[in-house]
Amino acid sequence: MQFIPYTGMQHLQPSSGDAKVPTGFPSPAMEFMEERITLDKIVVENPLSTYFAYNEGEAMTEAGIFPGSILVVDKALNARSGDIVIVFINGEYIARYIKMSMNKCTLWAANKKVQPIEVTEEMEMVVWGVVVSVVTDSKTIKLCTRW
Amino acid sequence: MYALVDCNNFYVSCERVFNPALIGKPVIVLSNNDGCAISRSQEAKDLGVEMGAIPHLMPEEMCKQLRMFSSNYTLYGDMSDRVMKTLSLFVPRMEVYSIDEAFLDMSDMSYTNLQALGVKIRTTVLRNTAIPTCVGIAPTKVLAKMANRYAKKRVKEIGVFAASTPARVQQLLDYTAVGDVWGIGRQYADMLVKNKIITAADFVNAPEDFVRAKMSVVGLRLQKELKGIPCLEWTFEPPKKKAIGSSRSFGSLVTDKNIIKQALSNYAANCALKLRAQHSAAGNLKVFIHTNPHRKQDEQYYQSIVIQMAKATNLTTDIVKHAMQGLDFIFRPGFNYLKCGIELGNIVPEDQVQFDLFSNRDDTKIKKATATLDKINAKFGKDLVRFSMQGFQKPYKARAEHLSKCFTTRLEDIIKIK
Repeated sequence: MQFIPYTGMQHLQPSSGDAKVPTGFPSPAMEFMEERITLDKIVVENPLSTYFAYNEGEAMTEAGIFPGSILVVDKALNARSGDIVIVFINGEYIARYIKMSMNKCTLWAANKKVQPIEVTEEMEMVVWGVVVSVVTDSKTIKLCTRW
Repeated sequence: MYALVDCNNFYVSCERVFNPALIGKPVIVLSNNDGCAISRSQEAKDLGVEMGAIPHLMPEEMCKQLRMFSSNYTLYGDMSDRVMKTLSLFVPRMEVYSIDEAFLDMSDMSYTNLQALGVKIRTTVLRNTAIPTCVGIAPTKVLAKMANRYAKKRVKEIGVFAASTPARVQQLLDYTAVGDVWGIGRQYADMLVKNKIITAADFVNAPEDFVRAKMSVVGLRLQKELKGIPCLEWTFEPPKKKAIGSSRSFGSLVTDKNIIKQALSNYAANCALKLRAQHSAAGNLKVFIHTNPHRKQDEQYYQSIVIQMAKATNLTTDIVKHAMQGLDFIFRPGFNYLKCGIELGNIVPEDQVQFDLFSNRDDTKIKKATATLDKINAKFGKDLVRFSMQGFQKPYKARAEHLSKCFTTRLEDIIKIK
């Protein structure tokens, strides 16, 4: 047996070539190893079309999106009525519910103090992507919910 | 079947993804050190901004309307990876030709509707990355490039052209001037036009003997590719065997193709000399050019091409000719080149050279002339290569006054939602 730095998984993977098995015998767990869960696996379905956004405003607090929340945005999804989307409108990014009907498109906030927006062509709105997950750390939640 | 997919105005398109206010506006991205324009939106092109235009030399009216950005390679690299990974979802093998272009090998697949597939590829890249691309699909690489160019110029709104039938290929050939064929440089184009060969279609119909005589075997392969027969004799992978090579770094940076041609001719001649000295012949030739990776302020470019000879040769004329043709494929204007060179591979003994079945060429005269040339060549190097051998300029922190954020790689830079 040797003393060597532990860099991870050394005793749990079949040894390749000259790599020495530190414990001297294969681990009983070797055949059963799986990849550990990471946040990416939970919130990122399509890494090629997934981007992150930092929410600063309070317009969607009643939907659990707080100032400080990180939004996981999928640009490849077609926005459907009722989705929470990121739109670029009037020169800035906002997060809203999108409601689409016959000829109208309205953006609703999740905050009684914030007015809905009736979208017109002059606004040159761009739907940037659909919010698929919200990541908020507990410090932010405690701050924003003031329990 | 090959597809050539390339991104439209790639760097500008990347900036637009994260700043939709730039859509529809004249926008340019500047080279490292904010030197000159290396990417322009269509609106900037319409304004008259040329590739390589220098900002402080532009008329004020033009400058006022332009949004300028410093090159943000961190961002562009990530977006490029997303584009390439998206393309790889469609094919098992592809060749990434540059940061924003790739050839897709579709030969194993039986798609019934190539145009629809092209549209699907384009749409998927657009959905994943918001980057617009053009797709050219055709039976050979040269035709795929042609189809891509056609898509860009003639069917802009769709951005896809699949030359999946002989009629569609003919459309491309009739539309494209010989000078716009990938691999036909200006001088060959001028020669062809003088001989009443104006379009690619004309070139396809030109007699093979004529093409072989004027453009050698590389011209013949171009002709074959345009006829729909893929020639695998050129690749962008460097040969792995040991080779005879000649190359040098320029003392000061070079942008002029003619200077590079001159240098390459010299290197080619040197290599041929070395071959003859050891009584060998070379079966292939690699040409490469690149910029100086240590000059952070310069836009970087590296490209090489390997050309297979019709038969192994050590004649200067052959090697120089093929080197020039190789350069026609890989040279791109607008870069500060540091180095160019030749590498000869597949080296065999002189007396074991296999015959070229189609050539009636009598080499005795050329061999005699070559012997004389060898004497001149010894002097050639000293006279013609007039580049000074000074060292490089000292590297310094590059100016980047208009840098956008690293929206996909730094948490502090992600887009802010109000």
